[in-house]
Amino acid sequence: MTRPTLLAILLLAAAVAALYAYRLSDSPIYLTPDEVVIGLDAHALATTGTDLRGRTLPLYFQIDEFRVKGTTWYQPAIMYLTAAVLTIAPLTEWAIRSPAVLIGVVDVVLMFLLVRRLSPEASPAWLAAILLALSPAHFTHSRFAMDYIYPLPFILGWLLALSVYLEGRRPAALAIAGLCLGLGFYSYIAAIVLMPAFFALTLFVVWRDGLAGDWKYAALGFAGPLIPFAIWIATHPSVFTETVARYQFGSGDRMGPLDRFGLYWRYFSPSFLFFSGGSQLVFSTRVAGVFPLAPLLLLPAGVVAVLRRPSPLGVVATIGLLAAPLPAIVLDEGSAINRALEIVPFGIVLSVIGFNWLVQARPALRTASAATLIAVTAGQFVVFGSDYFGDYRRRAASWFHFNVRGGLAAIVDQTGGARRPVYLNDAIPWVESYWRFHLTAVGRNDLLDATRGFTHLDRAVPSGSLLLVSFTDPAMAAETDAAIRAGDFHLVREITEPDGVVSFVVLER
Amino acid sequence: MAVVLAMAALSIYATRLDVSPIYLTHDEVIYARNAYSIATTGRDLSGQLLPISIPVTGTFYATPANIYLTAAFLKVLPLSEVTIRLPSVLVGLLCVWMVYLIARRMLGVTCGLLASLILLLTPAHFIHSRLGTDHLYVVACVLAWWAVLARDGTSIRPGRMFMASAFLGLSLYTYLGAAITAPACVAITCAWLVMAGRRDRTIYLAAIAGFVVLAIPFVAWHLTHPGQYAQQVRMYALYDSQTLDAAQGARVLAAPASVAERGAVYWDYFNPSFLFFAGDTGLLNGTRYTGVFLLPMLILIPAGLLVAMMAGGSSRWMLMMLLAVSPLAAVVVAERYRINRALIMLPVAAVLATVAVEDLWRRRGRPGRWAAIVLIASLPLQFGGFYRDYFGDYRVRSYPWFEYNLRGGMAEIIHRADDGDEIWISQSLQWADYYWPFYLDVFGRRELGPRTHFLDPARARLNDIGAGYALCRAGEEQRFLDAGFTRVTAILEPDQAHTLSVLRR
Repeated sequence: MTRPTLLAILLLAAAVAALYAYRLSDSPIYLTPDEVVIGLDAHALATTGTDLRGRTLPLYFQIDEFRVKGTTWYQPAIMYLTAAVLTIAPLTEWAIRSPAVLIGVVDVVLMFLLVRRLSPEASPAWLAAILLALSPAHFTHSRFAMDYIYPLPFILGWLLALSVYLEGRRPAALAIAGLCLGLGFYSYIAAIVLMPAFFALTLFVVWRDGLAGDWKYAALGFAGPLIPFAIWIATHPSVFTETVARYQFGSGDRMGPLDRFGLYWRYFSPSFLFFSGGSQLVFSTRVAGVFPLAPLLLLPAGVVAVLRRPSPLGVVATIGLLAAPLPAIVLDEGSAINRALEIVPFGIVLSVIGFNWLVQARPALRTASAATLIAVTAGQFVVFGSDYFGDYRRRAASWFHFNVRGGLAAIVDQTGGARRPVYLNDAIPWVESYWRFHLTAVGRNDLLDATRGFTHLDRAVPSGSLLLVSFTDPAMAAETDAAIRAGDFHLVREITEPDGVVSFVVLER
Repeated sequence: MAVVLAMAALSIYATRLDVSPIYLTHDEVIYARNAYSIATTGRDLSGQLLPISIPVTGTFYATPANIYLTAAFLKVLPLSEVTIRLPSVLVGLLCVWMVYLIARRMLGVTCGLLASLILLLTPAHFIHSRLGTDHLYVVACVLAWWAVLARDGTSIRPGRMFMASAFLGLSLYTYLGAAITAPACVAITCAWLVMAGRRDRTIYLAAIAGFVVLAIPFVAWHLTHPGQYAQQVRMYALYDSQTLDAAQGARVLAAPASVAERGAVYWDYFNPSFLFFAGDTGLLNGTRYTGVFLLPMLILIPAGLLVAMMAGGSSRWMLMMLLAVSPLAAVVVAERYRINRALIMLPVAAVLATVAVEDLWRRRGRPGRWAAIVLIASLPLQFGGFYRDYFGDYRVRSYPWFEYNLRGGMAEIIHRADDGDEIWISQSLQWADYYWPFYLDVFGRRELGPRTHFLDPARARLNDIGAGYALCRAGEEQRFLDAGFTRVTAILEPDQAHTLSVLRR
């Protein structure tokens, strides 16, 4: 790699990091419950070396906060990476989301390096990197303290190593490809299915290229990281049943196979991919697709190009694209891009293959075409970004459970440093976790023991108690108004959303 | 041989038309009443003499083709369920024949026969060939257009091109959705000529003129009935036609959210669940036990598409473009999984499947031939199962969709009523005000019409009404019994469910 290219890559990484880290604390507007739980466990790991249950450097993290059927086990990658950040940074929204920014930047760099190997010119590599960086789904998920995006660098690393192997037949590269998949196994729960599938795909590609004897290098690289998992699963035999219970597999209320087939099909709907994105406002603004518009033409062209002349990487990307939504259809969540984010890198690779195919007759136009597509994509991103940092925050507030943080901060402020009884409305989802997070962040864990939950306002609470009440619950709002009018409680502060709606109130007895 | 095949097809499609579908849909009744009126008086029910567009309900107008064809049948046959469904059988078999012509031109005689067999054994085509509605007529017109183009190829002369496009103009009078599909096919024609390298302007003029000439009366009628467009917009909930004009409405339809929603609907029309497993969401247009197509098509259609893409050529591109535009009418109204709005897909798929079989047979060696044999042989096997269900349990599952056994209840009254009897029919029986005069005509008891009254049993003073017969829902029966009526008979469904009651005072 030449020095100018290295410098260009560093500049690219810096630009993406700056873009992805912009206003990380308040966009997305609030923390999701998952982010809170991950933040708490990662903080415990960073400060004590154990998780919240006292286990030293666990492989998987037991989560009980969500009170769902059975126990939830979270993947280690996000926990350890977040903990690494929290060893040098305080517990804040910015700190726990920054690992995802790092993941996003690594993805873009890896995509550049991967596509650079496929084309004699640099323009397709720049196109691929920019398309990935400015894909709304990739941008959005690079700003969450959640692990949906974590498989992507491992997938891109695998593709890069595989392309190196296919070009030079170096066994070490194949082993590294397997290693990427093995390590990626710990990135996200769907990776437990996808990484072995991609490993099988690796073996297929190796066999197809007449190099079946090299399979052992891939196997060695893949199997090595899985040894801890094998030991762990042997010592935690209930994990399988607990996970099944959590996702309600086998329940009579679950979707039938035909519905799942239909759901799988909708993951490839042009509306979903290029116009409206995922069905949940947490993970999509609903005014932009998973991809920018350029792949609307390039991706199908890439599929046609692969059908006409199946290159190994093209075949891998096509199969990867088709396989990406399979874990997601297990759940009945509509088109949930967060659970099928692996579509993005494969889609970008195919788009670039399509780009190369379309311009092959006019190679002189390659650079200009790439530059035009980049400019168009950038322009589209400006529109998307304006909405993402603007009206989307207002639209999505309810999906993020409203400004609980503001309410809890108001309570802490009102204590004035003293230890006062605190009552948190049970109607506020996950309020215990949010409270614990906030107290840890501001160093006021002394208030934990003084905290209780409540369902209805009780005049019997001690004088000086502080209460956080959900005002979005009409019954609770009416009860609160009545209690204030009756003089039972004093209104300390109203917590409002970006559109001015009051979501919580802080009361004092 | 052709006669034998035609008779075989007719026997499959025309048998027991009064048995399944179990009853008439309200659309069938409405169209049949107008057809009967035209056949007997030359005027529709509103009194128009040989109208271009026919008012059916409220201010909604229907396209005339199936009504006029049904009227032609009613000129020589008595009014009955069988008679009003026979025209659709004819149109369905005509489509089968035209698919034969198209595939024969593209791939040879054997493939022509195969394509026609595939369409014949397509569940959605079979179902819609037995409904006295208009959805299939547009398919016949589009196939006629396609058949002319397939026969003449890209060296087609302007005169023949004009004739081909005229069929598209004619389709405007067959089904409302043709207003979307026909212009799309005109565009496909022009694109097809461009790809073929035709530079003579006259051929393009002929392609457009043929459509335009036949469309002139259609456009003229809409210009003289400006409210009809707004009515249709309202009926399909495209936008608020009471507050928005056509230009504003077009902007609403072109808005990003609308485009995204319709894009999703379009994609869902190619959903394998819908096409090969579950079919239409409603039991009027599907049995829910098979898809739009039979299972072997799950392999044959994508394979045919792949072969067409790889082979290229104007005829293959025509095939792909037709498949692409086939759900457009359904997309505009944003209705998912309603195959009756995308029936053009059926013959296109039949030809695509034939392309796949041809490729398997000629270019894939012995494994390909065995695959082709297994897939084709599977079609009649699965169709047999579908056929048995269609005449069996489907009737039981579907009767609520066909307005219940109104025929049974009305026939009971018609056969019993004397000259002096009044007849009371509950307003809760949806469309009964259309079914009743239809069955009066079927059984030749028109004189009962003036003595028929529709009432709301919950509000009417049943004690004050005179002697006569009443028809009501089973759940309303008690009100009549309390008012002094006695039950004459309980009207049962095939599963012995008591849904309607005939009572007498």
